Amino acid sequence: MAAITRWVQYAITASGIANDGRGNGCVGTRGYSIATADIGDTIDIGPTTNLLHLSIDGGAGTYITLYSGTGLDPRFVARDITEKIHQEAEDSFGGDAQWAQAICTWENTTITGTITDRNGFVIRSGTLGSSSSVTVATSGTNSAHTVLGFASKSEAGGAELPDGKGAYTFTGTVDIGGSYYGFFDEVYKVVACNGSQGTNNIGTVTKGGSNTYGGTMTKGGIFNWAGNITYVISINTDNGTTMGNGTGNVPRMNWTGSGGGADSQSDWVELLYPDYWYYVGKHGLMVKFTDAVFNTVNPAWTIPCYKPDYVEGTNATAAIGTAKYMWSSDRGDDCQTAVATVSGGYTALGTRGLTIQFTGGAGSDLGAGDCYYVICSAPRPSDYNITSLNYGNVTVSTESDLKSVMFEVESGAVSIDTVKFSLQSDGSFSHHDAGNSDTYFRFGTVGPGNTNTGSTSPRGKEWWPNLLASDIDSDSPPSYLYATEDNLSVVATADAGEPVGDCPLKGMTSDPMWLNIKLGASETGANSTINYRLYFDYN
Amino acid sequence: MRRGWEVELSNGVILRESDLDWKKVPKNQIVRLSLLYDGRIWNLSGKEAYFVKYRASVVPGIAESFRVERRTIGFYEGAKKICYHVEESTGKFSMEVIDNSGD
Repeated sequence: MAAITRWVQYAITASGIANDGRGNGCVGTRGYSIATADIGDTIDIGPTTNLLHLSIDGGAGTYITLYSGTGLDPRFVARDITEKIHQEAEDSFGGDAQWAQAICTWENTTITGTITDRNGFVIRSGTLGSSSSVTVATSGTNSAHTVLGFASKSEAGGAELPDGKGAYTFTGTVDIGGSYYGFFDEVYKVVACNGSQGTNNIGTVTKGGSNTYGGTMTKGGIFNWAGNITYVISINTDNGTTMGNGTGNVPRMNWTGSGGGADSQSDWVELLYPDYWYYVGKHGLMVKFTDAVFNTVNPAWTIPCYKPDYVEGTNATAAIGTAKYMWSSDRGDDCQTAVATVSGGYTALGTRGLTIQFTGGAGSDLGAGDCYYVICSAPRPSDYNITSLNYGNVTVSTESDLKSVMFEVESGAVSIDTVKFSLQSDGSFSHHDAGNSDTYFRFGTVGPGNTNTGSTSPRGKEWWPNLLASDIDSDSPPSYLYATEDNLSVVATADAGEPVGDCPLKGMTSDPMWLNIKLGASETGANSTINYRLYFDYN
Repeated sequence: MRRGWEVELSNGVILRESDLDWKKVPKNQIVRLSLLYDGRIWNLSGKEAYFVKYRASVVPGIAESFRVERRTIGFYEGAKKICYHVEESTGKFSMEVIDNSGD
């Protein structure tokens, strides 16, 4: 079966944005609309089902027009909705964060109640706090709400404080510094704690004795709640023993959460994709699994999670400068080790370029469990479904402007890997690899699949704005890229191509690639063309 | 069908790549998975779980340039995926073991 693919172009100047929840100081939760109808795991969108009417934070509603296709991957659709919302923010709302930082995800929802299909679309406002909300209209001409599962929905406004907190100890302000060099939207959660109860307040995972799963289960997220909770995950393989086989044919999980708060879910969650984050409970724990065979078993894994008790030593509160915090993102960027705050200074937040600063006067201590969210928006594409790149008029012996593109599969597959980019033909250029004042076809990449390789930590950068030709004119990448090739050779096999990272979290996407040409001194002619070819494995 | 996968279910039904998306195959009922290539056939049976996979290539933005480079059938041994590859242009066969236990 053919996978349906597309190419997406980004402006070289595109950049990500981090926000504090629309002036809410990173405090509170986001209002949301969750689609709860069972729609399976492929989406058909066409001319009569491509309009989604949204209202955010109770403001004026508007339609966004969705990408059309048959059998679309829901992760792809979720990112399309997000990008359309962000475009609408610019077109109609002056870049207001409520739209510009709103995010649609495909995730397993953990809200209370019985839901037949726990994997669904969730749209969250870019605003934190009680004024945050999202309303999806369930009527209208050519409405997409039914095909997206919003025919039945659950909507709730944001809360002033998260994780059941009644009040925070910290009364100062939180500021975000640095720049966000992530390639996809991401939400960071920051919790004041010193990690003495386990990394991100999550303890040691115990695998059940009868659990024969031989792959790697990875825990993620950051737990924050008023009490300790021990989650026991069970697995059922009545429908299938391996992931990636489509709804109705994959393993499922549910869990019990006992201890300081009832947080069990008896509804089964289909494990549709390997290496994809699934939420366990409502308080921050996530898990993902590599591709391997599951068996029906209970308990499959036991995961103790601890309420944050201390911010420094055995002190529940401490001043800025001694208090510590931990952070984690919904894409699995984890701190691993608690970070000490610095009085009057910024400290690390994530591995993609952000920093955070706590500021307060006397008596403004941080208290264990004080929690903050930072909402990050990705660089926005400039063009979809591009069929060519035009380097413009290039003078001999000079470098052309750079172009940045991303490859993705929109339907016909559930995962991709082993992405290779290559030059299929150097066309009418006569001085490529000729050894006589040659023409060079340059290439560089970094992204969620292969983050930057520089010697300085952190190394989680996935995008770098305003790249120059000089950044990719050698085979040694700068610190903010993963790999470069100063001159692509014409090759005919995947093995000879340039490796490009891939990511399953926001669709089936390649890492972004930057391309340009340096025209050899003796090249002549006009309208010269070359062909690139990209190889990829999919299933 | 000259090339592609073929599945035999426990009820005797035969499913083929030309007729069905792999996602729609009831995986728990597979008793045989075969890969066909111009009269050659590779058969897998008696395994706990199966998969199919493709290697493809495409010229950026030119849908008509999409082509399958390699077809793969395989099975799981716990966290290991045992792959049977057949190159689309030559029919050359190779095997590969992918270990997902440690990544």
